Amino acid sequence: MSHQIIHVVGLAPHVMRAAVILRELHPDRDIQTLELPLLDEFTPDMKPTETLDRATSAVFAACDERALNFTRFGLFFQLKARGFQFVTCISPRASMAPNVKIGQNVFVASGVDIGSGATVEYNSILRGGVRIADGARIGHSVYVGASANIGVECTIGDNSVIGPGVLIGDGVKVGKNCSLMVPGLYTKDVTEKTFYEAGYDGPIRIERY
Amino acid sequence: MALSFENSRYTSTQWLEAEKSAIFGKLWIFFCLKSQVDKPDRFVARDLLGVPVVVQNIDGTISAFANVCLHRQNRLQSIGAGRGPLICPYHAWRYGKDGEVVRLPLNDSYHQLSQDKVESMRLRQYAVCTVGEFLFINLSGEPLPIEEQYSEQLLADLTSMSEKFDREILIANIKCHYNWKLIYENLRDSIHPRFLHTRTLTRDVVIDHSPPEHLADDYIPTLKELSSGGGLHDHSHDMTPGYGDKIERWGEKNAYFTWLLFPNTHVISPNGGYAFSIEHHMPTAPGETDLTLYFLTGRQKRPLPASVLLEHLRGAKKVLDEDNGEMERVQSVVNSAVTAPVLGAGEADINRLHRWMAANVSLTGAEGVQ
Repeated sequence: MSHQIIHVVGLAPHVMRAAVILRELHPDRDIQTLELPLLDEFTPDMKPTETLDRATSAVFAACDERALNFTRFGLFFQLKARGFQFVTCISPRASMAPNVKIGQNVFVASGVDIGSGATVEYNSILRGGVRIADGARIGHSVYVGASANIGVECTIGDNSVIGPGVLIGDGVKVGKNCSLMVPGLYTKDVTEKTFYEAGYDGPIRIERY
Repeated sequence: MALSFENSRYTSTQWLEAEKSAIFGKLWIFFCLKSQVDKPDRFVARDLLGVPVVVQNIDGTISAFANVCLHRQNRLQSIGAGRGPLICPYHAWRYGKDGEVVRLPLNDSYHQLSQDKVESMRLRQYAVCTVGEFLFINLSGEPLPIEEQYSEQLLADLTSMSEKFDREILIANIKCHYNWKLIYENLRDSIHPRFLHTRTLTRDVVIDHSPPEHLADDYIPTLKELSSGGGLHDHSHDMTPGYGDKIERWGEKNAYFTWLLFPNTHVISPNGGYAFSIEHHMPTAPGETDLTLYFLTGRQKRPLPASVLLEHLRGAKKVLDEDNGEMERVQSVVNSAVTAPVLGAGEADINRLHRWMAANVSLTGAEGVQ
């Protein structure tokens, strides 16, 4: 079923970013934006979404990488639990091989290139100029920053953040809940809950003992 | 007693060696959390002012040893923390819970050390003391009772709070380019936040300055007086974080808790016992200090997303960066300052620190050092 109205719901500035692409993709549909206030730094107030009608509208949940993508995941999950259908937001100026698999609520910006056999699971964001090489698998609720390069057959775990300009070497596996914010080439696997951030001596790790 | 605290104490290798002897080699030093090593074969390895130490669980016993093989002086555990038996990677000598050699490959055919010799060999062992989840070690052969270093109330606070600690821990490391004492003077300075942390800490926390106190000229504090803490900054508003219902809270007081453990540990609960951080500063050179940060929440009733600890770290890092920036600026000029620091009555806690250091740390036979 194709809904006439698409509500772009979430936090600025990603709401407007997605709305621009969706209006270009669906000139015949009514693209409406709904920016949510924040209850705290990481939690949007969902109350304004109570007026949305899942029978007449589809949604796109729009939010940046804050809180390791958990803010966007929470937004997506709550709308999904209420039965909304999601659209994808793929720029007409992105290019992808025909056999690429793209999940719901995925955002693909202008200039992104996705290679043959690659998978991008639901609720992930690929910012401008990202290159996803053949056979790579991007998990759900991932954020890949502008001009990052994901190598052949790489795996990026759910919720992870790949910073702008980061290069992930061929075959490298990045675990779930990682954040690679230091630009450079990553040639070794990264275990889950590992964070590379500027200003630290080596990686930051969360471990359950 | 005239108060003077030579500026060279922040810059000279001789003073750092004197502190190594009088402080880090004598007192209880925080080393890690017990939960990091309370399962068989778990270990944490760190260098304490050039002394390589490993705290290792062997068959359920937690011991601290010199992290150096008796054979050819290789490091036994070569990474900072992990799980694995105490076996030297070089020639596979294996050690037991008392530091004894329990396996010596090729002894009969190659080393040919006598049974008596093998049985007499022991890794150098250090004293370990746990206060709740806080694990301290002491490099001295005759460690003082920890009750002489920390007050009964402080030990009770550490025990009580850490009973609520979750076993999921974020650990981060930062290289700081200043003398370790500067940050502990800064942490005893209750007025700097209103000038330095206006865009971070003091937006959320009302920090009252400590009352002025005139110390008698001949007053020298006891070791216990150098450590203190508790719920210094009370809040009337609810401090419950968004994840508050998913964890067990320590206590019910809405307060910004902070404890200073002399010499080099700072414990904080910024939100009334929901989350905790430990800052551990270890000097590596007169103007260089390794900071290890631990972040954890109260015991999780339901798993929290990894973002909770990461965002706590990111928030704290903004405050740390402000402090570290100032400390590095002080460090860059301290040796050229022509006078000792000027301390007022409000800075009695720093004054105490200086007086204790002046009375207990000296350059034996180091004439000519300024």
